[in-house]
Order: sequence, then structure tokens, then C-alpha cells
Amino acid sequence: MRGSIQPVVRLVEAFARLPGIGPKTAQRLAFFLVRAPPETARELAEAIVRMKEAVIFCSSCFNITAIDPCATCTDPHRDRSTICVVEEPLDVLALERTRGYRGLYHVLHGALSPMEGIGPDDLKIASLLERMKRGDVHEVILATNPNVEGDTTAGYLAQLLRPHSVQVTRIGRGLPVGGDLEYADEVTLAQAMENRRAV
Amino acid sequence: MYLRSLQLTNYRNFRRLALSLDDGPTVIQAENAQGKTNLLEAIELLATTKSARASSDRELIHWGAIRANGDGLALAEPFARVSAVVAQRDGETRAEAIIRLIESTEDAATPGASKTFRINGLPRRAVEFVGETNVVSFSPDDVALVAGAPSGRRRYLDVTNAQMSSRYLRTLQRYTKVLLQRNQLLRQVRDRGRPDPSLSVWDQELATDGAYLLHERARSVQALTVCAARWFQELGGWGQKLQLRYRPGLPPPDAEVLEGIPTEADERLGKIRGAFLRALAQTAPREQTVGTSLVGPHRDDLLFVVDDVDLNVYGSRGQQRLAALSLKLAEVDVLARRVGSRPILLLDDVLSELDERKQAAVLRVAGGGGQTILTVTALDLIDRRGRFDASRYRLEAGALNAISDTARTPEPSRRLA
Ligand SMILES: [Zn+2]
Repeated sequence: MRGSIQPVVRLVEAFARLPGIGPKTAQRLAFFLVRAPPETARELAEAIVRMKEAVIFCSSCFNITAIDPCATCTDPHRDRSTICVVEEPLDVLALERTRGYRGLYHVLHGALSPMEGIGPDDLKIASLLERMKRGDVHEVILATNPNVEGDTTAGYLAQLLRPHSVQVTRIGRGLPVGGDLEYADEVTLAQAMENRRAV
Repeated sequence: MYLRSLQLTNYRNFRRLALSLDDGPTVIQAENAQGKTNLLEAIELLATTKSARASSDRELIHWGAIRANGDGLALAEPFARVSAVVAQRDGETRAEAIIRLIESTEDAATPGASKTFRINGLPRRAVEFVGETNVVSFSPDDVALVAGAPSGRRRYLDVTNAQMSSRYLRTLQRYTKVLLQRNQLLRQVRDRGRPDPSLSVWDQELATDGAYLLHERARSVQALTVCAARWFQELGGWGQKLQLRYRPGLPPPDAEVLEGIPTEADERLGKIRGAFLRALAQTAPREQTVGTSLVGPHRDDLLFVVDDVDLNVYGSRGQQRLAALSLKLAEVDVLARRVGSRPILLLDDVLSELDERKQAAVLRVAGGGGQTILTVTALDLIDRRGRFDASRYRLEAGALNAISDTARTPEPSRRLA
């Protein structure tokens, strides 16, 4: 008995390591798969492995991509003088839906949050400063979330960007305070980009 | 403003309760443990979204509602509801607070409760709900405001300011988050023994939100002290002058910026922020040794001073009680001026602890216009100087009954007195 349940325990532990999943949900998911037909389990496992093989981070903007550098970074029609800094790849999707922004991106992969153990070294900040050295960037738009962590991260970046000769702007008001960029509707988001102000 | 009606469902010891009210005094007579404090607490919940007494919101739900659910009987969902029609100059709104039981879930091993709020049936976030109903409440426990620890006085300043301005509440919530993050970072700096380049940005955030809180608290204390001194004089009448002294959580030289008559808000905010940042720079080494934030509004205090004596330390119980009552009555005045209408005044069993002179003064306030809900253990407490003109109810075992006009038999001689 003990031996045969071991793989299930291992799966429960694997699920429990995922964000937002506690021990109870992890158990529920694992036992769902125990009872499910083999195809269901195989499909899930393959989807995860395929994704991991197919998706990489762009070495320039750190967005998720299939090829490096990503399609946005190599698109000749995009404005290379503007970089929009966001927390997550999903924020890029949200901004692309507005169809108003034609510059490049930089994905930080998070925001400063001591309580979650996220400090400056855990974010893609050094690589952003590296991009400044190319000299063709005129404006950096700080589009981190309008909450405590996002605002602080924007403040930190503004401080680091000051010595570089670029204009630094913060995405404008109108976004729901304390909210997430990815949940804002297109019109609000487009307006927030329009209303950005120098910091 | 006043409550035109109040409905409770499964709230504390009330299964169902409906009460019509008017814009004047209402007296609720009850023996102890019949739920009169619960009734006032429910109204306070509509004003502040919080219960000052409950250690968990779960306590607010009638035990029968929870048990019925546990047995899989009667109720589909264990919940409590407080609902009121609030009449204001520009019309009426229905304000509702709903407390739902959350069974033990994921990460919380102990079951808790969630609160949601509605205005005219539409959901509102707590921060947008506060201010719809303004309440000032006073109970014998409030002596702790003067006699107790600073945290109680900070909480008082927060509740008062939040009722006056939604920006205050939003800033307070933000400040609290920044403070938690910054404290965590200071702990990390202490444990790792090396500085963190992002600490200075957390300083900036803390100072921006903190400056606003300090400014608003100083401003409210300045308004409160004038009115409180008047009430203290009127209630006590010993020719003693009560003074409220705001003690901001900044070191003395930096705290000076909060003294005196407020200059133009923006200019003053800038100055306070500057003082805050200087204080942070000065305490930085100590903060990084102890691993926590040592300056800011979370270290504020408020002193009650009579003839240069701090009542917290040297006041008699009577002085402390009187200072607390004076503060609450001052709050009625200040809120009325800032918000534009007199708040609802809740007086929970306060008469029995006061002498006749003070009882008379409290009844003058209660009967002097505006909605006041007053609980008493015995009706003779309010009728000592002739019949007090108010709607009257008797509360027994969670049920309210109007005390009808025919039931009372005032003596003609007392009525003349
Ligand atoms: Zn890229």
C-alpha cells in the first residue's frame, strides 16, 4: 500500500509547489488524475513538457517567445526609441490589445516585494540598464502595476535611470488604484498610456 | 443624517429585528445581556465596516445560523446582515453589510468570515462604503481611550478621520502595506548585515503616505481640542481646561513642523514629508539594527492634558471618563462641520456612571437635535428631571417592543419640575 501511494504523494507535493495551490487543492487535483483516464494525464504532462521546450525568454526584452530575439524586438516597424517596462508577460498582451503602443517592451518578471522575498536582484533590472547603453532609447515608460509594489518598483527604476539621458515617464492615472494592469480594459489602459507623466 | 430604519438578520443574538427610527432621540431600555450593545455595534459596523469588539467577524453571525448549517438544515448559507435606510439631505440610500461564514479552506485552517458591503444593492469596496453613514459612539469602555495604550488612540484618530475623508482611509491602507514591506526589508537588512539599494524608495513611499496621515491627524486634533475643552468645561464645570495634544511619531525637532496653524495643505505636506525623510535618515542605523520602522504615524500618540497633567498617568477615573466623553461630543461637532450633517450619536449605557449634572448635560445633547440612540438599564435614568422626550423601546431576549404611550404614568408634579 505504502509503495503504491508514493507516486500520488509525489504528485501532491509537486502541485503544492505551484502558486495559489494549497495542500487541499493539491490533493484534490492529484486524486482527480488518479481517477481520470490515462489520456487526460498524458495530455496534461505533454502540454507542460511541450510548453517548456517551446517557450523561452527573449534575451533582450525577457518576454516569453518561441524564437530569440522575439518578434517584437526584431519588428522593423516598431519604434526602437521607446521602451515600456512591465511586470509580467501578460501585461504586454494587455498593452498590445490597445493597439496604441508601437514601441518595445521590457518584462521585469515581478515587482519589489520584501514580503515575498523579491529584491532588485530578482528582477530583470540589470538587463534594462544594459539596454540603455545602446544610446538609441529616448523614453522609458514605467508601466508597473498601480499598487504599493508597482509604485515602489517604478520609483526605484526612475532613480537608476536618472544618470542615463532618457526621459522617464510613469503610466498615468485612471487605472484602478491598487489593481493589476492585466485586468484593466483597453480604453482605460490606452488612456493611462496617453496620460503618462515625467518622473 | 439619520437612519430611517434598521434591519438585522442573524446578527449576534438577533435572528430577525426590524426597527423604524426618526431624526431625534430613541431610548432602548434593556437589562444586561439582552443585546443592546450588539444593536449599537451593528450600526457602528455600517459606519466603520468593523466591529471594535469582535476578535473575529465570525462572532457576528448568530450561533443558530451557523449550527443550522452544520446540521445541513434550514439555511443554505450561514450569514448575518445589517441593513439600514440612511436619510440624508439629498435623499435616501440603503446601506448593507453582509457577513458570510467561510468554512475552513486551503490555507486558513480555522474557519473565518468575509464581509461585503452594498449601497442601494450595488457592491462597494469597504473604502468606498465608509462615510456613507457617519456615527459617533460612546460607551463606558471608551475610558480606555484616555486610560489605555496609545494604539487605541491611534485607532480612534483613524476611525474619525476615515469617516471625514475617503482619501484618509485609502492612504492609511496604503501606508500600512508600505510599512509591512519596509519592516520586512529592514529585518532582511539586519539579518544579512548589508544594506539594500531599494530601501531608500521604500522610505520615499512611507514618507509620502505618512506625511498625509500626520497632517490630517494634526488637523483633526486641532479642531477636536477646541470643542472638547468646551464640553469638558460644560460637563465638569470645575474651571479646568482640557487640552488634546497631538504627539506625532517623529523625533522632537522634526515633529515641530506639525505645530501651529496649518499653512496651505500642499506646502505643509511637502514640509512634513521633508521632516519625515530627515527623521528616517537619522534613525536609519538604529532601524537597521532592530529591523523595524521607528518613526511615523504608527508611533503617534494623543495626550489628554488638564492643568499640565497627563490624564493617562495622573488622571482620576472620573476625569478620564469625562475627557473621553468630551472627546466624543467634540467629534460630533467636528464631523458635523466637516461632513455637513450631524452624525448619528450612539450612547451605550453611559448614564449610570455619571452624576446628575452630567446626565442632564448628556440628555441635552441627546435631545438637542439629530439622531441619538441611547441605551439604558432603567428608564428612571432619563426621566429624573421630567419626562425625556424620545421614542422608547424595551429590548428583551433579542426582541424589541415599543413602550406605548398609555403604559407610562408620569406624575404631574415631576413633569413640572
Ligand atoms: Zn524581445
